Amino acid sequence: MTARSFVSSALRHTALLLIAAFALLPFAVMVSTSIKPADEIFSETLRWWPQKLAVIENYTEAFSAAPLMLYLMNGVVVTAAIFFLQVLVTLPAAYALAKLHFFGRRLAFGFVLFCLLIPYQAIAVPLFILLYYVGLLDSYSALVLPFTISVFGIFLMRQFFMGVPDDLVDAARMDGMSELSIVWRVMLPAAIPALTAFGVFSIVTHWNDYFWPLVAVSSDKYFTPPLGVMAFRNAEAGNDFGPLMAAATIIVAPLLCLFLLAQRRFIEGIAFTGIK
Amino acid sequence: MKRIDLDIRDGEFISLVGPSGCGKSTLLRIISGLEQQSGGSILLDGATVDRIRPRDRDLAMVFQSYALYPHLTVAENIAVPLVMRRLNTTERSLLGTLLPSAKAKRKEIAGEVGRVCDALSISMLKDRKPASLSGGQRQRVALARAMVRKPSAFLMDEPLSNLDAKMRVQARGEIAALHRQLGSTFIYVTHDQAEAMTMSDRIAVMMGGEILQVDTPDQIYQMPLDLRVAEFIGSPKINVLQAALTEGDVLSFTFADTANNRVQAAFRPEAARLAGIANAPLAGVIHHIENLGADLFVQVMTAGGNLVVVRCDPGGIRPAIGDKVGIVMDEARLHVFGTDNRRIEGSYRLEAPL
Repeated sequence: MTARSFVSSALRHTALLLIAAFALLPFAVMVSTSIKPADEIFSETLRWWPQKLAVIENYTEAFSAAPLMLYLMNGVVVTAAIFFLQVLVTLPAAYALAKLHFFGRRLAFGFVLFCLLIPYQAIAVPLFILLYYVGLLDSYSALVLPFTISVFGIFLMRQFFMGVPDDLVDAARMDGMSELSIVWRVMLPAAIPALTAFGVFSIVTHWNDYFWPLVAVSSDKYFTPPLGVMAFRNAEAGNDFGPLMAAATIIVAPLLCLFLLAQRRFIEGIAFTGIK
Repeated sequence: MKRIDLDIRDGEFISLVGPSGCGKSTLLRIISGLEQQSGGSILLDGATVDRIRPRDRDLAMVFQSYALYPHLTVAENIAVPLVMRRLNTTERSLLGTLLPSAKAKRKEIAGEVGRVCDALSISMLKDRKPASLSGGQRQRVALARAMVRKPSAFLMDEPLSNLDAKMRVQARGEIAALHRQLGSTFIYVTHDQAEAMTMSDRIAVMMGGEILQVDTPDQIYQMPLDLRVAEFIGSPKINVLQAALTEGDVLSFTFADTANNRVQAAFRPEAARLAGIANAPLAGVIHHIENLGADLFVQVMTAGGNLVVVRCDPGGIRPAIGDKVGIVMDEARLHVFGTDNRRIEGSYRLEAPL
């Protein structure tokens, strides 16, 4: 490596490190606060590592002050159900848009693109009214149903399927597969990288979603983790930031683990589909 | 495509050959059922299959890109056509693998896959994924996947064009041998006239969505019915010169612009020889010499500005670039085509040298 390219590479990395540090700062404050006793959180000197560790107190408080385990389970059930149903809808739709020739295909894809532009907050009220009439408000269905059709997923998978050779689809037809068999037996295995990317997007979005659960459910047995944390804050604990931050850390942890596990495939998927 | 009328005999190896975009692949896809024809009928064994789905036509196809399932091993790839046909939906599902009937069927399929692998000597590749195979190996796996079902006919869409030149010659021999051994019908699409010539019982030459001629390789080469067929088949290309017919059957290359009875005369490089200028119907200057070892192809620039290729024996007298030479053709091997490219049958004499 020449001296010049070393300098420029060092500069690049310094810049990236600074940006990364800036992005990580609130996260670091959260973790640091979660292990401090109450009196140290508002002390005038800012410390990353507390003088007196309060890990056990804060974390046990987090689990006992609110049914955090229930919220986490709710989160798992809801995000898993959403992702499963999304895949069930997305893959056949994306396959049809990418590989089948039918009247109105371009128009259908145009609608998909158009729907990408609609923020879901905009349709939250109609959805709420709809769910009220069906009588599904305040249930798991209310949390899951509005997200089963993911236009983003259809778009992402369609872009990926465009790259799958037509010969492979024709070979599957010659081999005796039905169109649905082709989706599940040929396209799905080929699409694992893109599906992982979509999975991370979907799970992160719905795990962290605060807005819709706030609208859709009111009994705390259906609370998802973000709602749970907030309910926690309003509860008798008041502004007990130590346990609150501990709860927040616990909620973020599964996502972090998931991303680290899926990291390689996730990046492959993004590179494949040419998104971002 | 227009007026396609092709009668393929049982057990024959027929090639559809033509330049790219001539409709040969489309014709194959229509036969397979992957594409729907806008008119006309496809009959297999005398019964129409127009409304029958590809999988029920009892045909197997080998694709140019091989189209192997990337997530399955070689053995699983080859087993797919059998699994899809013999196991029902429940037996194919994850739980169904526990059913005794599924187990028995899978065992039977594994045996058949094994036999096909042995026949194509790819048994040692069974557990590998397609990504780790070479082009030649993938091509064999694709063949095996087609063979395992014992279809009534094989459709092949340029299966050798992704192989390098050396592998291609070898695979050519293997596919021809496979055809002799299986005795099933092979319909083989290629743009490479050499593949068509070396492997086929009959060749159908297609151009512009039309079948120009269907015949044995010998007939196609020696008796082309259309100038475009003559030009497409054979390497180096057949020589084509503008000529005029005088006195009914005398071919003249030195005709006046006003002459009637204009025709196109064609002769293959090996149907001509170099001679002295004095007694030759055609003369020119040697432009370039291609020495292929076994053959010497001499390119002669004629006075009329045409490049004519003549095959010479490398053992004979070697001409030199720039020499003035005459060209004499074998009258029996002259082809005459009308201005509409159709062959004009007859025997012709060459105009006596001036």
